[in-house]
Amino acid sequence: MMHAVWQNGLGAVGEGVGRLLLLALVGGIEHATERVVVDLLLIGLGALVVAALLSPLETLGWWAGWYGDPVDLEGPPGTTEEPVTGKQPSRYVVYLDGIGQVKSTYAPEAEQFLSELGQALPDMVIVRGIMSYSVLNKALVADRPTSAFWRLVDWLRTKRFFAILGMLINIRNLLMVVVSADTRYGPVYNRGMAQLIYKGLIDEGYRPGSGVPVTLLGFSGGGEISMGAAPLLQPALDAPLDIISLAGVFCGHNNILSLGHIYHLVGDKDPVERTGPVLFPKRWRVMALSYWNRAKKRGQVTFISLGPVGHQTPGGVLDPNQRLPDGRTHLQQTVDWVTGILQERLPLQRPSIAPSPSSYSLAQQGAVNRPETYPLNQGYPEGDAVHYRPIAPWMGRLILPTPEQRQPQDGVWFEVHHATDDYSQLVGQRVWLSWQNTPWVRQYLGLVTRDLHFSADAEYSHRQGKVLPKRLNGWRRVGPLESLAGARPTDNVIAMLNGLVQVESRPEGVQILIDQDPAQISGRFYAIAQFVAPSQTTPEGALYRIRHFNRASRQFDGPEAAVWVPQVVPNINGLRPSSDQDLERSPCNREGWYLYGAPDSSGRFVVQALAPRALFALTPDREIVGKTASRRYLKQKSWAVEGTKGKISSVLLRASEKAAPTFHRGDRLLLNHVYGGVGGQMTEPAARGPVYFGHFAYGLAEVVQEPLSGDLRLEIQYFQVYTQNGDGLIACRHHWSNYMGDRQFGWLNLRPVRDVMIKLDAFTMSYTIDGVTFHPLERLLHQLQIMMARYRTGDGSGITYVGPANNCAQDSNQALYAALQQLNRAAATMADPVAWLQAHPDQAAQAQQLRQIGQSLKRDLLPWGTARADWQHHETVLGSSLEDDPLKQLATALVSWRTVLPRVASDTVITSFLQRGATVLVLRTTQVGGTVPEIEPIAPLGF
Amino acid sequence: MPELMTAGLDQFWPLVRGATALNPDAFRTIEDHGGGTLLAITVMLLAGFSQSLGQGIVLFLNQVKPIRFVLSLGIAAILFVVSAAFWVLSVWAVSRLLYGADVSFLKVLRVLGLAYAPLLWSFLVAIPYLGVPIQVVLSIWSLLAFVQGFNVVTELDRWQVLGSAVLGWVVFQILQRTIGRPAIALGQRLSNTVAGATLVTNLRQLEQTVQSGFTKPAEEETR
Repeated sequence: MMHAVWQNGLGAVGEGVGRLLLLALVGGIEHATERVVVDLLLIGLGALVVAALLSPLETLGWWAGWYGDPVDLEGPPGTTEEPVTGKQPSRYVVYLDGIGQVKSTYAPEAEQFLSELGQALPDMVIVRGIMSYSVLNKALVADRPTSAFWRLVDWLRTKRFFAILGMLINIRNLLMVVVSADTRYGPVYNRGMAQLIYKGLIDEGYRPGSGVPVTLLGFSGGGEISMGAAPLLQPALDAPLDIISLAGVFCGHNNILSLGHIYHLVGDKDPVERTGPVLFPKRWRVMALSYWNRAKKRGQVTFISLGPVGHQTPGGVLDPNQRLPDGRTHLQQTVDWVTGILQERLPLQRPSIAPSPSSYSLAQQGAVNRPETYPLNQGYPEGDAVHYRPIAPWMGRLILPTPEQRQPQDGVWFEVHHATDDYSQLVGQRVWLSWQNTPWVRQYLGLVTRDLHFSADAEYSHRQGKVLPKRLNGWRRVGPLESLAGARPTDNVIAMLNGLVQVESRPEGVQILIDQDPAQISGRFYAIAQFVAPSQTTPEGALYRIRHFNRASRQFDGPEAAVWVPQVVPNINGLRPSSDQDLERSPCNREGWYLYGAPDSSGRFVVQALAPRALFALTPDREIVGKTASRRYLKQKSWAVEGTKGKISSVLLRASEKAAPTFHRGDRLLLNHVYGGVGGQMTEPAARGPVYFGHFAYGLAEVVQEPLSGDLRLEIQYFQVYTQNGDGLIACRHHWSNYMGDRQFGWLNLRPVRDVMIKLDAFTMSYTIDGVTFHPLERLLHQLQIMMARYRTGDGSGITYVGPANNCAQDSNQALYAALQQLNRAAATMADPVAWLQAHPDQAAQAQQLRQIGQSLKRDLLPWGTARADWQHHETVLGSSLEDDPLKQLATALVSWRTVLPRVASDTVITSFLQRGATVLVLRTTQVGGTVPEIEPIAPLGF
Repeated sequence: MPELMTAGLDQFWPLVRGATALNPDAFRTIEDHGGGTLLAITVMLLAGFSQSLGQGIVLFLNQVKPIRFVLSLGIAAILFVVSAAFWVLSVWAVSRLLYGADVSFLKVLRVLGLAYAPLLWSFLVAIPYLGVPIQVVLSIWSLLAFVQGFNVVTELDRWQVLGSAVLGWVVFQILQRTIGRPAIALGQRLSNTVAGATLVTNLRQLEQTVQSGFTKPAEEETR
């Protein structure tokens, strides 16, 4: 019977107070005895109020440094240099006791529970003795002003008659639970507890960063203490952190979304645990946005019923005497469950791990989309090196190394598909791809290298079918090449290398070093040709006769050939993203196509991607001069989609005659991309609402000479700041052939698109200021690469969410803002600007122009004068779920409202450049390619 | 004069109780009471003290030391009275200009000062978890007392009273952001000097401070 008194638990509190209140309400006040009862009750209530008022004092005093040692703000307590001795434990378990706790040793049944747990888990360390209800880790009976009182209470409650006094301890500790649940005091208290638990772990030999998982095991009020401390503890430990709540009472206010799993074990006859969901509003079902409800919704919480079990002893979860129908004691059952969870050998009702199908997973069923369809030993299609050219000098497949193969510096395997002539022997080999040692690369790697642990959000999205870097989950220090190669579940990223490529032969093998991100491509070679007619049509695709372009006659009277145009796989909405029907009847066929692809094992050329040749030709159909006319075309006419299906257009805009009317070989242009939606019979889900937002991206276009025709043309790469999605589209650099042209994954046949090339010398030239070279466009591309790499890892959480404050348009422009800021800073730190301007009269006008464009862009993008604080300070803000802070996100979005909507953002940026004298080429494509009768274009939302 | 003052304070509890019960008689009594002004200021001073006690967490979070803590509470109470007086002034001005209420400022100050009586309980805001709803209840309560009291002293109808309150609030906010700035800066400097630290009062920011030292190092390591 002693246990009954010993571990009163929360239940007794409620019961006792309830009974007294009832007495007060029902009883009259006429009789003297009742008068006394009511007086006593009032005194009790007064005492409770006083106790409640004083309860946060210990915590607050601790924080304010009133008890001697000031709080160490510099770093986590404890040391991290503990040497590894012997075998590393497989897990650390921290026990946090219920509210009956008076000192660091526990009630007998809790002691028995821990010792049985210890025996069942010999390879784990159980951290015990933490005073869950004192930030000073001081027992109630220890050296404190009231200790004599608590000693008395502790002694008296073991005597039968004074058993009720145990309630005082419960009340005192219950108030601490309430302090932890309070939105004002909670953060301080929880920090204190996090620190205590951290120290407890360190004392037991835990090494932060070792990745050894930790589980907080909280009984009753210990549940709240665990949930409060865990969100702070996890980043400090840098390891997976789970919570097991044994009949825990908690408020549901703490951000537990970044934690691992939460197991909540409750008996059916537990009246105390039931108070939690009633008393704490954040656990009500209607509070759908509370952390607790969101965690539940994401399947992060597992509820386990303990059967006919109550709360405190007797009859509670730790009762060593009462038996269940199956003969086990309550205690034994609890030990079984907990060991089962900790050893990960329970058939837990977790949601199914197999992800739902997605457009990407469906596409993988098509042989045409698998790298092994295109063997490496084939060389040029039909051995014809005259009519086929490689897309880039260096091409290959990125292969994620195994954890054992990883190197200290970011790097991946590169299966060479094509190399420059002097390295053609490398084709077909697997070489190591890594980074050159340049200042920019060092800065880049330093900024984006992250430990990657999937958040619950990421796990949830993964199950929803989004393509996430699943293979990188749990990896430490993931670099940009790894996050690129590992972005999808299999190694199927085919890429070209950009920038300067260095090849080094080392004893351990050949190494290729780059200084820029590779770009995804589709195909290996390309040709310029017209479709003549299909010679054979099957459900798998069409065998087309084509006629090559003849460079000499400048006509399509070159040799005829046969190419395979495979049928693509329908996406998740049942729509084929491109068609092999009537390609010869497309309005674009007259000017011919770029056909991107590679030979399959039978040697026939498979067309993986298509591009209308006229689109890149730099020969506009129309020219518009003048500010108003240009702006009108841009804002209104350029997005007229009616009657444009299947067609392309090219319009040159200039604000005045002063702007250059032509493009030259070697010009580097800023590209701005916006796409619209898929409507018609097969309207895509995102476009079913009243408005369609679209997508925004920057890119780089270069004017090059086409070897197959001798003409100038655009060579385009997109820098896609794109959140994880079901299409398998990766946030990275994309060659036009992949992002637009790919017949399975690209948008050419599917969406209306506006690509705008912006030529402004002030923005694309380089400046040498005080011996340091600045290149505005280059800076922007650098910032975009950083942003893309961060999007790929979700800053270590595995996923990036989009909302009004963070999306493709916002974050692309955040990169632009960062680039402009850097230039401003460079100008500001110039020792003597006047002298510099005098010494460089040639650059002075340009510098002035650049400054103006920086100012006008800032003014236009952030019209309310204030820069978004998060942009200005370059904080590490990435899209997180909108649920986190809806109001703040909306407010942030309002400040930068012009960059929320892709089309509006694009119009704003382009107009800014136009007004500073840029020459702008607007390229529009609308569902170009084969016939897809089920779809119609939808323009994105503008004003 | 001294007798008058004590006479005024004799009435303290009955009047406070009356105002808390929203009894119009209490407001009528103080309107013409000899020591009314002193009594009203005492109510405001105590309410201010009670409120700063209830929100003492801000001082704790700013790590203010015990002696300065007590002094800070005192300063906060005085600043509360000053700011309350200005708020009464703007309400008085609005009611006079807009609704032509012809009452002396001192009378309004007395009545509205007494209307702060419910805030004497503000120290209860410090109670964990229940404190926040208590704060909401007390704010509404004191607004009701304000409406009742202003109604008694000016004989405006309820909507006009509410209009004066709302517009008075707007004027007060504008004053704070314009010509009131030096005064606010002075008050802040005073609070900071007494507290011995630059007080951060934004709870969100404070929460970040509380969490910073613990999580930051680990984060930076991984960056």
